[in-house]
Amino acid sequence: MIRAEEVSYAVNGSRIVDGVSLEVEAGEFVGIIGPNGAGKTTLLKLLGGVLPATSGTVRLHNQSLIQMKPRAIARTVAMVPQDTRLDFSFSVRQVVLMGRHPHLGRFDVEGPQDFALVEQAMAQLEIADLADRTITTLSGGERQRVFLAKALAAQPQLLLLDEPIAALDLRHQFNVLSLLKRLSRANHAVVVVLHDLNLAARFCDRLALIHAGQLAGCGAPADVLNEDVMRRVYRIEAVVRHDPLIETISITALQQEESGEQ
Amino acid sequence: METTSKAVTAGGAPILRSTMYRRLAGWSLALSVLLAGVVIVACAVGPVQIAFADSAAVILDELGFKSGIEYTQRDMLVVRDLRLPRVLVGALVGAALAVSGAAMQALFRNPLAEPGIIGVSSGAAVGATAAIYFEWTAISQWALPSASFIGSLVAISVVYLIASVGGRPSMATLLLVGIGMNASMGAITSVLVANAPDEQQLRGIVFWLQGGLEARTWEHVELVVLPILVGCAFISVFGRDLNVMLLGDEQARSSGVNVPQVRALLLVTASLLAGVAVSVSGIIGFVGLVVPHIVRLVIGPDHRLLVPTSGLLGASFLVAADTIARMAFQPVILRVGVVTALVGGPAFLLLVLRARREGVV
Repeated sequence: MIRAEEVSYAVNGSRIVDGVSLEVEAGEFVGIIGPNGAGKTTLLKLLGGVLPATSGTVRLHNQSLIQMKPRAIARTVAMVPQDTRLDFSFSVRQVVLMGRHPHLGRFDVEGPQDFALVEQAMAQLEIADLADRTITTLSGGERQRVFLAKALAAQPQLLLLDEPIAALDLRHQFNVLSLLKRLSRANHAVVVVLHDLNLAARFCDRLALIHAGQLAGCGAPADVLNEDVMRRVYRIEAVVRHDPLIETISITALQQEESGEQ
Repeated sequence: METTSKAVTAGGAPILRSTMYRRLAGWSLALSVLLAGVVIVACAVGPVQIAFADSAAVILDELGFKSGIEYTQRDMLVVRDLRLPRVLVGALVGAALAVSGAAMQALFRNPLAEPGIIGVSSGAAVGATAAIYFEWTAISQWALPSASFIGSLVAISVVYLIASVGGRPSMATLLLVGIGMNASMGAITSVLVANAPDEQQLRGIVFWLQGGLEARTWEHVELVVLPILVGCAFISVFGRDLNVMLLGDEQARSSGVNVPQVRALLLVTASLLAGVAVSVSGIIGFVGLVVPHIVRLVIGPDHRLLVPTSGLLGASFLVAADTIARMAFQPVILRVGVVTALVGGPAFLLLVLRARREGVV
């Protein structure tokens, strides 16, 4: 589906993403993890074609992203941003409808099918009762689900999400991750930047660990996350053990060392 | 889950039935009726009072409809040759400023943006002031509008060039450079005003800076009608793109909008629209800032509706303001640019109050 080949992104000579190669297939649920400032968000933007790679190429269905029109990319790839602030008083439904933009011609208006997709996406994210509310009156977590619904309404084959559960309560964190998991099982490709390593390990098929712009590990959660990695990349002492209750690894930090990381 | 199903049936159905185009048609029709009414009244009132029916009849006959109403030759000449061109220039200028303002507010993602934000009006002011100061106005009646338009072109070109140093201009850079440009252009205008050689020129400059539509002819209408209508139509067609661009550059890009290209196109179109308008009217503030706001408070932020309806309301607003400027408080001279602020200011404040009470703002 999507393949990054040795992609780098540099600003003023410093490489924020440095020669990362990563391939994600349809049906996969991949988490991008790493400490603050590692380049996770930039990598996600490179995969979505929002930023142009300084070197290397990103290919979507074997076609280089730079050679594709934004509209063509947007019909296949949807992104959910980290920052969801908005100063103009659109209703929730209007924002979710904007997800249909790449599928509509310049003079088209949304038809019954578009509205059906929008209602479905809002129901999936439990925001149907907010449909006529103004987006400026919503909480951060509610806005995050609105933008996720907008992405779903676009019917993408590839979903790229930047910390989609950062502002959500526990119930909605699980609901959103379960929804993404179901989507990946329905043959979508899902790439998600996550900070919660336990949830990442529990839900993702594969984890890509980014450290200082480089790919520091990629594979099944149990293969990527271990105590040595926690010490080296996250600079924290932690115990990584198998949790039989959830059949996956669980990470417990031991020492809250103040090292500039959160 | 109960609330979910309720909202789908209660909140979803009306939207399905009334499409965006139906709302657009409804509002456009209502505002067109308003505009027609304002135009008829504006053509009827003046030193020579003409009955509304006669005013309407002259306009209808002029448009090629046979109204069948009898009116005097004198009334016909007053409406057709004196008032109608002035009213039409006012309507076109009002529409251009309102559409330009709506576009700028969306492009800058800032409700306080207005058509002159990147230097159009202040550049036009320097051009027009220079034309009056150096008496180019004696050469041809087109010297003033030409100098004004060239002034705005120079100003926005310089702003764009400076903002483009070191890569594609960001909107924040454009805004900053625009502020700098407005300040320096204002300074040049002040120098020319302070050094105006005689009363006549000083008055000419001050009047131009306060905006005015007197003595506009059919030639003025012909000069601006095409660029303004084409410009307004062009921006209207990008309504959905403007909506998506309000979500931010990256969301717009990932929703399929070619952001740098669309933004450059609309920024140039909106600026030129304002430049054309100002060249035949002088500086008229407030229309471009307030009219889109009024529309947004009443019918919401969807730019597919907002842009064309702002144009129609802007047209009515400026024609009405010009009529008040002509008629009210004689012999006190009220310039139309002053009236737009006098009328628009309180109207705007009332709407803000209402919106705050309803918790929208």
